[in-house]
Amino acid sequence: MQFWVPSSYRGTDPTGQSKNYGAAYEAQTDTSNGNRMLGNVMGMTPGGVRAPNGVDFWWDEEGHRNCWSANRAGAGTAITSDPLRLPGCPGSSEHHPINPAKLAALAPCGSWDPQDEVLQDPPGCDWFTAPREPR
Amino acid sequence: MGRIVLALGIVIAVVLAVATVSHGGGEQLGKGALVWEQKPHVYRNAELPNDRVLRGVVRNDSLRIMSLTARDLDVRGADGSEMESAAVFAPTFIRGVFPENRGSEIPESEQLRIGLRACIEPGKAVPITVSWRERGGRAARVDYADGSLPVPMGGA
Repeated sequence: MQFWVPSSYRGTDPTGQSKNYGAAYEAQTDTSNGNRMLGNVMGMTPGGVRAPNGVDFWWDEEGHRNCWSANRAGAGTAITSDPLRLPGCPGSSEHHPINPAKLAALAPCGSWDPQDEVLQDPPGCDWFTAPREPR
Repeated sequence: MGRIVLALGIVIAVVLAVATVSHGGGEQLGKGALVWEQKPHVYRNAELPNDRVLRGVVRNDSLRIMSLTARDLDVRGADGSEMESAAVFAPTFIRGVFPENRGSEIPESEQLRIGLRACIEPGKAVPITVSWRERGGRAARVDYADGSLPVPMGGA
């Protein structure tokens, strides 16, 4: 799962990473760039037993130079992802905007509170709803 | 005398018109100090057919600083009934650095950072995400301390 977090919500930046792009660069989008997912075997236990994931790779579609290559699924399964098509490496140097519907799916999860009857499963957040068993 | 009354009437009408415009254009954008900066969008997650998520940006149209707690916001239907809801003053998921079971012990600065609270200066705007469960009727408004924000149709 890969998603963007704007710099202003990360608080201070003691590493100074945000400055690497220069003042003109929009620091709000300084994360979620240049990530490479390479050579993974998905949907299989270390012992080689088939164990498919619901979704192998989830990406909010934000950033640049993010890419997926040489990943493979276990026997009898195929790599699954959201979005359905992921960019191969080296990825695009053009900044890709976020999918707003995916932002909407993540944000309510920030209100989670295990001590509150409603917020222990916040409306709009599907992290606490067990999905169907993948086949 | 008649001319004076007419002139006063015109002045009052102009003042009211200017006040309405400067306050965001009326109740379509909000009733009270907060108004939608732009029309918000409502989304529906296919995995959660009864849930809706509204994303938008609210502006403080008053002349005072507004301090809001996300948990105090209520989503209500057209009949005023309260719905199960959640709200954060953030555009996306922000991970907190304090354990979630510390409740009110989370420092104010952290609550502001992760969107559990908002402190909005006059004329300034902040992102907000509100979600709710619809059981029967649809949501009509989001209530806060001394006002409400209308919920647009959507979520298909």
